Amino acid sequence: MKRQLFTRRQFIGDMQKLSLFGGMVFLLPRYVLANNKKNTHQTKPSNDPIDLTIARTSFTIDGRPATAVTVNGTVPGPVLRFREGEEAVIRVTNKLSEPTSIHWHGILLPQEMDGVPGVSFFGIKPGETFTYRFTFKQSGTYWYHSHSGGQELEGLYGAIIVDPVKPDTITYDREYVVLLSDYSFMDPMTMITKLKKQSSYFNYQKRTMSDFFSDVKNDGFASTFSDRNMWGKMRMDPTDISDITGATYTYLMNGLSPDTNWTGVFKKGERIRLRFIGAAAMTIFDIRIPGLKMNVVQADGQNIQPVEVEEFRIAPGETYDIIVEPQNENAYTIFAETMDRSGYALGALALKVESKINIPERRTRPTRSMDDMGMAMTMGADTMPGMKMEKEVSNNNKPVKHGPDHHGPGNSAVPVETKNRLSEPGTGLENSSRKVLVYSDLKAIKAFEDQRIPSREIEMHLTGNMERYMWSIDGKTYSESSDPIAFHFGERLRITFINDTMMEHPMHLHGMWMYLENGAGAYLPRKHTVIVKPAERLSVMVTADAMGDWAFHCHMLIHMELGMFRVVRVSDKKSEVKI
Amino acid sequence: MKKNIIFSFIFVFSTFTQSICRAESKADWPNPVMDQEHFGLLLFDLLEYKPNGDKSGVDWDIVGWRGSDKNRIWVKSEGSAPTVSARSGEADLQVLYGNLISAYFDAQLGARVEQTWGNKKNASRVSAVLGLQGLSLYIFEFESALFIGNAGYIAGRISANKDFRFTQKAIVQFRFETNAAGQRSEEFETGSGINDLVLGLRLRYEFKREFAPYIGVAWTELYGDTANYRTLSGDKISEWNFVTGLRMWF
Repeated sequence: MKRQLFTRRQFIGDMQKLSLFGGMVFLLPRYVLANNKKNTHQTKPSNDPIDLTIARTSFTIDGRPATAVTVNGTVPGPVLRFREGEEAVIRVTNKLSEPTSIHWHGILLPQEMDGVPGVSFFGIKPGETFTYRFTFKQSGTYWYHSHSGGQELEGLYGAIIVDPVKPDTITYDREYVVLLSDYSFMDPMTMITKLKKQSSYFNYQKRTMSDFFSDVKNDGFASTFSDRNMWGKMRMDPTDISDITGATYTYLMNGLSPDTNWTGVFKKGERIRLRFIGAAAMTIFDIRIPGLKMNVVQADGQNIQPVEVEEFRIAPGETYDIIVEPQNENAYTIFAETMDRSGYALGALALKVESKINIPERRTRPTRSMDDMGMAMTMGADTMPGMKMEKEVSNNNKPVKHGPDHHGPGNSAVPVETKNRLSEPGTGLENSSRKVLVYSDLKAIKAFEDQRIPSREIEMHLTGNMERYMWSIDGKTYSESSDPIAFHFGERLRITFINDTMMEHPMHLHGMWMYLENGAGAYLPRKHTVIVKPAERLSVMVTADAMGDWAFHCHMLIHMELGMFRVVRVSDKKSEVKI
Repeated sequence: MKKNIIFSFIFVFSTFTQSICRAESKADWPNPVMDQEHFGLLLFDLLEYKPNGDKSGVDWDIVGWRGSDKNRIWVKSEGSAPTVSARSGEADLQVLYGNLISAYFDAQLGARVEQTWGNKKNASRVSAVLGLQGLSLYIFEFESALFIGNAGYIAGRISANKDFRFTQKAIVQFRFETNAAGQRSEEFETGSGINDLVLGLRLRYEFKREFAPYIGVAWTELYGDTANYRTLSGDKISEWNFVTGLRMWF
């Protein structure tokens, strides 16, 4: 087998040289090794079947026993490398005592191969082997993960690289996968239970009395009082940035904790391609490499017109490929700070493996703003949501007032008005002096074939109740909702997300691309996962070109598990029109 | 020839049964997400010792629930038990069904049992409960209940509490509670109208979210006939108490 699949024995020897995340060393796949001389993109594609075994693997950290759900014994799982047009045959064996699954995130494939228990198949029962078989119709950086319960939170994820059949338009001398994730010793169900009992359980960055006094000192009493008054009236917490924080999470880069930083070794003058994968369950990261400009060349596996940035945000589910060209012999820190600033994943690009790397200056945790509440009232807001002409391009920046439906007790509040926030970098990056990637920077490298104007629009309100820790769509959990969302095969339609909550929701559609309506005209970028910011109104277009049932959900995995999930059914039947 | 037919029959039959066994019907597929789980909480909001000479005692305020987001069974108990045997104690227990009627409020319906003991009296009373509980404007944990019992008995209770943070783990809880009744009760030594007002300030330290020892002060003022009954037994109608306790939840 010529792919990047390594046995446990192969890497243990190498890894022991490094000081690592305790016993987590044994859970590391070989590719994270800096001195891995194999330039992974030179691997020859072959049609050998790939065998993946999913098991619960024990390890100890400082004498503390823990387990992770592993693929072939490692976290992350092995990098799977294919060539566009190749047929993948992947045999997944379940050695767990519960059902499992693997979903190929962002890959277009027959719906029964999509790997979502309850939507595309039953799941893989304990002791059974399921053979996935599909042909790659695309190239780029993707990833795979479990779609069963909390298994992804426990480590079941890995990278997929699909090399283009034509020579890659992106040139580089060296490449690395940089897979970001979050790991907790607390098991996923316990985390959910804690959040249900106290939704702010993991937030140790709340405002205190001393914040009140320092705000009075800086902004004056009247302004501080009116600010506290507003938040009190709304029964919301402006420090509510991440549901699960560094209080329990260790943030990992290629499976390595910040203490045992991952290092990508390079030679001076090389063009390095970094394939960033947002594989965290509940964490949004802001990534920068101080001293290097990052040229973003691909988003969600799709090549884009290169954008030079100094920082970019990646949400669970997203991927970004960047090119960097270090000119010095420095060790460059790859710094992936969490959005709530409660922690970070850390790595380096260096000429040799660095035992110690610089940690850039930390930023203070941000707070939510009036914009996040949809309360930054603008004059002349569009008062009639859903009454717009369907053919009107909905990428204008005009705020729209929320309709009369407040979506019931499952939704704590509605923004007064929503607007697109595609040109905003997002909470915590608003006043950055750096050039931060924004969604309106993304432009496809060539115009996609389907340039039809959508024939209809589906409005989806992303809803939640932070007090009760409830998450839903249009105020209803998946189980409370009735029919699947009907798409008609061949149609072009628009989905407008309206985020009624105060948190980001990376919405992920399986099986079909979402063309992000970001004002790029014919060059709309296509994504499989789109962050919808608080109080944002954002539209995507979809060409319904894949028959069957597909999952459509928030990729904050606990939001998904608690009901922010729907099934999209693409069928030929034109009769069941549901708008 | 006959053999062949039998073999082919067996072959056809076995493929047929195999295909039946293999094809799991979609109806057997699991729910893709776990959005129907039930959860539960048991919170000892107050569990404290009140050192006050021969009036020393243990007070508690416990609340628990079990169920889904929208439908829950609630169990509540409040009371105080004397640690000096001559004194009387009182306690109640409520079992309620709660429905989430708005984003922040549960409407509750159920029953309450009250009991007093010691000091030569032993009384109990059962009433129906209508409650409203949730998070009010300005982030107060708010609880109100109407108690309706035999012979036109009607009473009410309102309580609220709010947390102020000194640090992420040192938290002051402000508490307010008042009880009122529609008529006098000899057995429970309460008057009609407003019976009492209790205010408290408790500083806790959350070693863990679930485990927080505290110290604090509680001020109680009695009114009307309730105050008169207490004066008869030689008690003060307005008093300050130092308290020390443990706030914990499971």
